[in-house]
Amino acid sequence: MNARITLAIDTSGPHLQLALARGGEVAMLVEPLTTGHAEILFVRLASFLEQNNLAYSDLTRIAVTTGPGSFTGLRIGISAARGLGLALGIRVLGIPNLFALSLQAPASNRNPIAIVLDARRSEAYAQRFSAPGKPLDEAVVLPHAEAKAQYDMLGVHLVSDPRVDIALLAEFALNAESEEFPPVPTYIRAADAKPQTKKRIARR
Amino acid sequence: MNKQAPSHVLGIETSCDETAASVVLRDSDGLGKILSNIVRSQIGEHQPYGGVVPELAARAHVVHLDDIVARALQEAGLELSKIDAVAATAGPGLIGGVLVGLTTAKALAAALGKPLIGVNHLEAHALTARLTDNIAFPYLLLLVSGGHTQFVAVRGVGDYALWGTTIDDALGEAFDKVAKMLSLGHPGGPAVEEAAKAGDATRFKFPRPLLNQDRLDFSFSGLKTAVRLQAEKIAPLGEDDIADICAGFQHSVTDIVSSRAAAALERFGREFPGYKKKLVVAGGVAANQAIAAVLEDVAARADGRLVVPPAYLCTDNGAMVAWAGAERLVFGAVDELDMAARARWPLDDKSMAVGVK
Repeated sequence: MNARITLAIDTSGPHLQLALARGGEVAMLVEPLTTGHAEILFVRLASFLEQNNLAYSDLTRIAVTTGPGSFTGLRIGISAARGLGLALGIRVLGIPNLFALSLQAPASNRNPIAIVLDARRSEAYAQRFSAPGKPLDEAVVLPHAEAKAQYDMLGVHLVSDPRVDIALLAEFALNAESEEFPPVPTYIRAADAKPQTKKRIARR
Repeated sequence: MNKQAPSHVLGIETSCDETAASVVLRDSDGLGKILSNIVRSQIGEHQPYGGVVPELAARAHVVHLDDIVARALQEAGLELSKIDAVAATAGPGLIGGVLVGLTTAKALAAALGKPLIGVNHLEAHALTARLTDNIAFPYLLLLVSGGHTQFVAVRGVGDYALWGTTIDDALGEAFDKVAKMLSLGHPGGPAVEEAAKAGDATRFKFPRPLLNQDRLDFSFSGLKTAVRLQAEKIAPLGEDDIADICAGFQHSVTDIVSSRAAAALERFGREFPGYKKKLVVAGGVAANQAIAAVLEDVAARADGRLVVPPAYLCTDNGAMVAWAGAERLVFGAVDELDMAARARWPLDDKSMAVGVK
């Protein structure tokens, strides 16, 4: 059997991140990028695979960050990952960003982990983990002040840098149980849409 | 046209509220055959909002598209590796949804080593009559949908002249807004048409904006406002009032459309002497029977021919995208993987042109 190789994609934030992981080895590409992910992604991916002497057909698994993050960025990454999965007939794993960030806690850490990320509009995305990859609760979005009061406590390892370590994510996904990580967006924040009733004319 | 190698093209459409994929075969004589045509409509998801919510549309596309593509291939009985090209709507449309379709198409094209064709959604509508009725160029297109109302002279693949457009609301949008103010539900076109059947079109006299000017453009905003003012004046509305308002509104619309179409066909005759005057209607509003009836009459009076593709190919679908892709593929008009999605993309843009093969 050929070597298992996972391609990881992250377009959830102001960067383009790619990683290739196979047993004990990982290569990555990290590029600051505020816009234009959809245009650059497949150009970078082609050269990244080539640099690593790999073809699309060598991939055995795709992993992608599912958010929270830029709604559009998430959909670009997930569409790309699912498209590749369909074309290559391989599994696609969606790894939530907060889950991925929990994996980055230092090995020395023995404390529960709290992830609190700026979500703009004076809100934060937050989730607690008992240990890396072991969630204690669901990810939520809540006002900054509340997040600080509830999550930033003594004896907690606090993570507030939103950037996912793409190499670590790729290595994790290489052996993760694929059924536990469906490739669907975890926006956390609902779409801004309100039912409209105004401008209707009265009926008898 | 010389014989071409037959091609199987996968088409993806996600520019509004339908997630759609299709496989179309273009044979060596240039004839098209739809091998599959899967459409997942989001109508129910947008209903509470009285119109398409772009973010909700994009959210639905991303979780359904790969499955829709897989079903289109399965129904066509074709392995992905047997596809000759991957086509997707690259615009114009709701950009969040377009990005999902185009990015998926890029992934498929990249991984399979097949050409990508980023299709202009309007070109897909414009060329549908060649898929369904094998129409030769040139012809006059009336594109009437929720987003567009245009007369286009279709001279060839990638070769379009815009003769007239709406200066405000699209016709489908006007139907939707009238339906909305009368609480008839979404999408409004079929609801207004249905209500109009029982109505008296002479009870209310609504304006025909712009019709006194010698041009091929449309304006529906003033008409919509006149409908609102009239409805407010007689509110609360009973069923008969609603039927009469819808009938009056639709009567105005058919008057406007038939008058403009007659003028556009006349221009077609002047600019393309010696060619049969062919009027092709595309877009969701083409399903309106009252409009189709007056256009039939216009075409007959001009000694021309009206072509209206079946309704399921006039509303958004993947087959028209696959077919446009197949037509462009003949000219080698393929796109790079860094192609950008476009929210706006007029048909007469110079990027549409195909090279001579």
